[in-house]
Amino acid sequence: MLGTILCLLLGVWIPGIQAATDFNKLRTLAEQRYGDRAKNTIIELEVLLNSLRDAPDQEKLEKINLFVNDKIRRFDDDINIWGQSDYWATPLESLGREAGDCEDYSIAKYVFLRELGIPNEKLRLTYVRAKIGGPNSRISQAHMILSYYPTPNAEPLILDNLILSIRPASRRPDLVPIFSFNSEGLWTGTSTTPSSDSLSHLSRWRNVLARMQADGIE
Amino acid sequence: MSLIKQLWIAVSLLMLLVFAACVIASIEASKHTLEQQLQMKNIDNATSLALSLSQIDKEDPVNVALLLSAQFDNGHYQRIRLVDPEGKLISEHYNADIQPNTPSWFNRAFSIEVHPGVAQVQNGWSQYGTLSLESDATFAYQALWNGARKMLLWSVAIALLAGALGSWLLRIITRPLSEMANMAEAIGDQRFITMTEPRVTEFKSLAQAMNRLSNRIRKMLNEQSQLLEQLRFEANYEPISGLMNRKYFTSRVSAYLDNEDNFEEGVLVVSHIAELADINAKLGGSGTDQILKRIGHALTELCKPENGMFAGRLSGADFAVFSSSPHNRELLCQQVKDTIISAAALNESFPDFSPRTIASHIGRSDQLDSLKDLMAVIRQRNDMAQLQLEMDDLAQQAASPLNTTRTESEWRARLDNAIMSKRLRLASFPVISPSNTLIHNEGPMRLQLEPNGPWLPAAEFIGWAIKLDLITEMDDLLVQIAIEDLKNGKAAIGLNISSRAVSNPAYLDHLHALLQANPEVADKLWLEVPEDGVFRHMEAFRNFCLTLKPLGCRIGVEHVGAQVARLGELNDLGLSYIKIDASVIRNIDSNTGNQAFLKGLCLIVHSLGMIAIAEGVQSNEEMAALPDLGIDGMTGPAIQPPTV
Repeated sequence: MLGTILCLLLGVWIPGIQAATDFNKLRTLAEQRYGDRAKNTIIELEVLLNSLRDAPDQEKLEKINLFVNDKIRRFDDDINIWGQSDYWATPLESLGREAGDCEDYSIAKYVFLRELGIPNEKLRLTYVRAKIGGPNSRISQAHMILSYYPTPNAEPLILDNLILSIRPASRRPDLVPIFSFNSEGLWTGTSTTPSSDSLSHLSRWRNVLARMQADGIE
Repeated sequence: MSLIKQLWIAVSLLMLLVFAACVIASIEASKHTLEQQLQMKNIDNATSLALSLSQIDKEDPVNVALLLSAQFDNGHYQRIRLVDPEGKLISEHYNADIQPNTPSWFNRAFSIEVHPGVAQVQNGWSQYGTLSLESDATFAYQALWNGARKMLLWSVAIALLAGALGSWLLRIITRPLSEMANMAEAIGDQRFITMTEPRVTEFKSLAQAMNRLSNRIRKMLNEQSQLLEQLRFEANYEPISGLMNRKYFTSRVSAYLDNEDNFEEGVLVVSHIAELADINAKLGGSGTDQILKRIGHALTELCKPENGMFAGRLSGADFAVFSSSPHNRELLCQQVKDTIISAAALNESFPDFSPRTIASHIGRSDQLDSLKDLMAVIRQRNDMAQLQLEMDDLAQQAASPLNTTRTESEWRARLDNAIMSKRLRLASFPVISPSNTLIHNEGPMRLQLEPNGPWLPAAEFIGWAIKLDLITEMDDLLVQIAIEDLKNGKAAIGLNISSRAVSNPAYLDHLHALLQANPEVADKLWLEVPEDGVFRHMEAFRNFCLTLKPLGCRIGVEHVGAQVARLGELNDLGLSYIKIDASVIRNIDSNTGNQAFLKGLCLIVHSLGMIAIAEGVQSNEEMAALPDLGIDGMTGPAIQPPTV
């Protein structure tokens, strides 16, 4: 608790330091919206994140990958979950419903890793073409994964929900990268709010980030 | 500063503030929108360019350079910059020539701050670089500047319109206010006018209060005048017949005899009812009173149509009629006699009833003693023929030879000549205050019929002047002479304006033009109109006052006495002074009845904001008594110009 407050204070006062997630708010919202299971999930998340604060990056990646892939149990299309053809859910929504599609997994992982202090430059949300059933398959599908670059020029590690274990990109011949992005340049200066004010004007990506903030995830 | 001006300034300041706030807020809002749009453009264009770069073959750097150039050259960008993951510059395009053609102070005041759009470029799985892109903001400044200018123009246009509308509304709303200010000023000048009530509630109650004040004062003045009239009646009239008593009758006649400007010759008729004692014995006191009342009424009616004609009861059985204009003596004598006979209606009880009646011409040179002579004669002589002979003797002295000696054409030639060569001047009779300072010099007209001839008073030629229709020219000339005199440094002049001149619009215009042309002398000109003229031409006189008063001259009424009951009607004309007729002033030191009357009259005159001047002061005793009665100025034979 003291750490949270300290972090909050530091987050306010020292630019560049990641602001902490408001777990109280997150917990309350989870309970209100999705019930006790969701609340427990959030408590588990809090415990996990707190235990990983000082862990090496590799451990952070593995634990978070495992947690997200585990807790978002149902991998489904947005249309079945949300009734919309392409809906970018916040981590709270994904964890609460225990369901999501590829970008929901990736977004949740990205957010939790950022929460653990992994810098933005090392993380990329990447649109990929996934060949279903292996590298030689003829059936391909639009997919999204989270890439981790230990150094700028290194080969990335792939955090995916199709293949649950983390592998270097070279060991994922079924995936062809198309485009990648992170939140760099979206937040202007040291401000933590998007420089646009109305949700209706935001891109999907900025929209989900803004809703996340409303949930209590900074 | 006037209320309207202050309100105007306050409203203008407020409007300026509101418009300034509007313009600034609107510019800020536009600026914000433009910033958002530019931001979105930056992000979107960076993303799509990064997407394209991610897809192409980047082995040959030319591909990358071409793509960036194509985008930069064909789009509206300030800067496109690509750096590799380690922060080393790969390529940069920068347009240094961008200069917004809007004023630099405007750009500084409303600077558009947009962050560059940032996107990541991939090369397969590996990072190729970070793209950052800034758009050209010139168009945004231009749009902002144009919008601001348009807004300012509209604001000014609307402000002008609102100003015009506002001052129109203000004028309508505050119109009653200026009317009330005028009224308050009028009341301050003791002119008790009333105004129509405005519809605005606050103004309405104020106007009502002021109207009530005016009306109450007017009512009070009217009551006072009525009371005064009663006082005048008691002092000057004989209660049974309602005719003037002897004292008043003789002072009226003598006031005429002394007035050389308006009086030339008159007729005096005296009638003696020798049978009065017998009538009294036969019909009793009340019967006799009835007869006397009828006679009094009939004589009053006889005199009414003619100005300057009046009747009196000199003693129990003696009646008298005076006419100030040259009458047929015998005709008037017969008229008076017939009037008394028919009014008495004594055919049955006294078939032979016939009052002894004689008539005499009476001129300015006569003394009032002739009245006493007449009365003595009428009592003693029973033989009417003899009586008439003696009368004629008396009248001989009064006969004026002047009027009849010249023919009409001779008169016309002489008067024309006098006017042409301006042989007209103003006489000068001082009007002084009790403290012996000059108020003004009364200036009656004098005319020379022949060069170097005698200066004649008005009464000797005015009749011919009226008959020959030369009087208007004389009036005009007289005003010019008065103004010339004043311009030459003479003291204030009191000018007689005849009732004929008052109701002549051409004369009024002439007077107005002259006064307007000589504003410096206006306050030294005192214009006075005779009482009977004022009340006979009330509307014309009102118009006269309203036209000339604003020019600064003083207007008054002269020969006041007979119609004091109507004095209240003058309350809203802003008159400056009243001259009280010599008949009231005569023997004022001994006449207690007239003293009370004069005291009351002065009181009313003062409460109307005027001063009271006594005319025809003849003796030092009169002069000594007047100031205590409230008189502010005196004129007449006994008054000498103040010695400096």
